[in-house]
Amino acid sequence: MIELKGVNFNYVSFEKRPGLKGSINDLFHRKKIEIPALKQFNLTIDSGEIVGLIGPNGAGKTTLIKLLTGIISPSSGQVRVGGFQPDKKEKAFLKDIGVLFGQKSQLSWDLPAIDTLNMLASIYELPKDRFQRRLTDLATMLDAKEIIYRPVRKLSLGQRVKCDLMCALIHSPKYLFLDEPTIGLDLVAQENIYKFLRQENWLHQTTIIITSHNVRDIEALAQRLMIVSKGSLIFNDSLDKLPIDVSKQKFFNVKYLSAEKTVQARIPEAKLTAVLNKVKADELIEVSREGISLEELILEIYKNENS
Amino acid sequence: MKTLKKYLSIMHLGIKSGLVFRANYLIKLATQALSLLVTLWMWQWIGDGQKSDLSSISQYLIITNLLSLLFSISPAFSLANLIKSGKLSFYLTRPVSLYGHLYLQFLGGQLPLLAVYLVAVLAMHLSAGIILSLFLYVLVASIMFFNLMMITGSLAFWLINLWPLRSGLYAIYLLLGGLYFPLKMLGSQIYAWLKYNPFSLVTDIPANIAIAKVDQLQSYYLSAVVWTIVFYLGYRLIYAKGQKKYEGVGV
Repeated sequence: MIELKGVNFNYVSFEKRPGLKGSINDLFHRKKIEIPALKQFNLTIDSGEIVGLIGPNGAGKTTLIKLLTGIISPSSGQVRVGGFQPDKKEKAFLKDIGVLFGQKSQLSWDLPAIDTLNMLASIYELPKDRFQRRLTDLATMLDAKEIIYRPVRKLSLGQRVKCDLMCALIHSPKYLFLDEPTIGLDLVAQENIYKFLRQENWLHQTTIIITSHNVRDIEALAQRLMIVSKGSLIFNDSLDKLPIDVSKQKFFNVKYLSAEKTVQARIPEAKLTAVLNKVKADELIEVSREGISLEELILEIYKNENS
Repeated sequence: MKTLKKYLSIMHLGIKSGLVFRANYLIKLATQALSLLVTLWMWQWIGDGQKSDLSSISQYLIITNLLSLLFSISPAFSLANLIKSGKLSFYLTRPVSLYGHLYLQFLGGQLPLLAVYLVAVLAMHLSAGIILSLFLYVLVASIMFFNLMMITGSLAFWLINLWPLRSGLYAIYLLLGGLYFPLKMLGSQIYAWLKYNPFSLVTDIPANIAIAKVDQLQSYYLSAVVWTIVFYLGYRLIYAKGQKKYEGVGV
């Protein structure tokens, strides 16, 4: 179980004064400022859950992951992961977690991923047979049997992320923290990773916390959605509980074929029936109500937060 | 046993990484040899025919320059890069000591150099006793020097760019380590103090052990151990303070 109670975290920065005079002044008197990244943050995640964290840039998502993994300590408040205080970095805790930062790699750049995996097997004190079994399972599920023997610098981004994911999971962690795991990946690679993570969660009841800007990640994986904005949790529930106000949305997007060409039209509610009556069923491609896709709803929530 | 295996696997990765960069090794050896040749040529010119002195200086400079390959300042910059790039986060989330990880990784990377040292030891016809005392002393001195580099690397928690320190550190190393001239040439009074500085302890003293010019080896062991303790405590203190500033961001 993961629990955060009244957690605050402030980043320390310095205010830079403009111009040459400002730069010279800054040499002697720098003005320190504290930027709140998380404010009175409360959160509970049950074991075995897949939780999606989403929010605009600088909302505090990555800060939350860093607090949960013990990379940074809270300015105040209490963080508990599986009963451990993460910033104490107890070995038993570190053996229970796996971390992936989509923008950074823990692989040795000039060596094949298998060398890093072998080293991690020793670091996590995995018995040889268990390591081999896990390695085979992960390589099979991620279709990475061959790529782990190639130098990392020769791999594509998608292949590299697969290897990094193997590193994060080789010791079968109870808690898996994924920070933007699909950044830069093509759709096929994204689908493979979704399938793999769902399987991992189902087979081992791994608690997965995933942060992303990619709404597809959340839709495909998360049982619960958390929207973070300006350091606070503004939505924390299942995806189907997102506040959809159908009565507000008066337009429909209709896509159909006409004279072998695709026509896309934005139709007001009052005219929808008339338009649909004119289109044959085998020519109709798509009808959707505007403003209710997950992406649109999240965008709306971001906008309301900023207004 | 498991702990030993854990760290041996890190060293193993260090050896492999080192061997990948075999061209770098050769370039490093070649540039060091070139620098040594220039220094020797300079001494030949200054010595102006005093062959006995020149032979002794040459022997000394070859050994100190060889040793400087082993006592590298690179761990300081490896740690600094981890801090700057935010990759330190990976080390903080693994059940392994960062200090042990970096030391074994560094040691692994340096192991291929042993082949060079083996050739040097054979060429110098050293006695078994000298080889043993040299080996033990170098081991203690390497831990001391590594601790000094860890202190330097930890400064990256405060300094965004550590690279300007590199040339300064190297200049001190060249001067205090006796890589340009035997430190004894500075006079016995100055040398009496200077020989206990950490840079001299990793090059000047082992060079003197190799050419059997050292008496009171215990005092050098003792000073290396004292420096090790001081540097280690300093590192722990600086690292603990620095880690509070670490925000896990980076390029």
